[in-house]
Amino acid sequence: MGQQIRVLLKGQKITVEGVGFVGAACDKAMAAIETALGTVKKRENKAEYFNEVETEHAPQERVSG
Amino acid sequence: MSHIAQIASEIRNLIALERAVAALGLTLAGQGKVRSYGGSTQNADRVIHLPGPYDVGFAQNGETYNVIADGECFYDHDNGRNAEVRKALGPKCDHLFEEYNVAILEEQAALNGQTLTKSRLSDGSLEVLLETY
Repeated sequence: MGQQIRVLLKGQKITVEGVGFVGAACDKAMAAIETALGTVKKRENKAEYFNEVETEHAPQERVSG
Repeated sequence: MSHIAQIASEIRNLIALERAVAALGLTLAGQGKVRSYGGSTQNADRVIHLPGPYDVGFAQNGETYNVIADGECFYDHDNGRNAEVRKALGPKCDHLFEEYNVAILEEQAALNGQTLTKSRLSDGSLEVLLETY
């Protein structure tokens, strides 16, 4: 699944949720949408928000001397 | 999931507002007077003229547009005087705000190259998904 922004609309109340993002990447993706819709009243970071983006490390050769 | 935001909807985009009003089968007129309780009127930058004794308008206030309407239009019940507003825009203008927010999200999806899908949930709320693959 790609990255998804889920928006629930009920009258003047809106809930916006980032799905599939890791770390703070969702902030940038959702910022423009949040601003376009109105004023953020409350924000809750989920557990995934605090995960670091994984990076691949090149295998290290062990040199024996 | 990464973060969840609760947002209070605000009217900021006149093009989205025009699309929302058109989606409801109505016309967004230019500057004019909004009819209210007891025959009183208020000026607004954009007006939706409706049958019955009340209109709904939008007055610019900085970057946003305030909704100009008689307070009864935001009652939970239909007292007769607000019947046409409820019929046209939904209880508490909920249908108008929903169409407006959908127009905003459609614009954002187009800008970001995202697909957008909508589905009505059992509690009456509308779920909109913007996806990037």
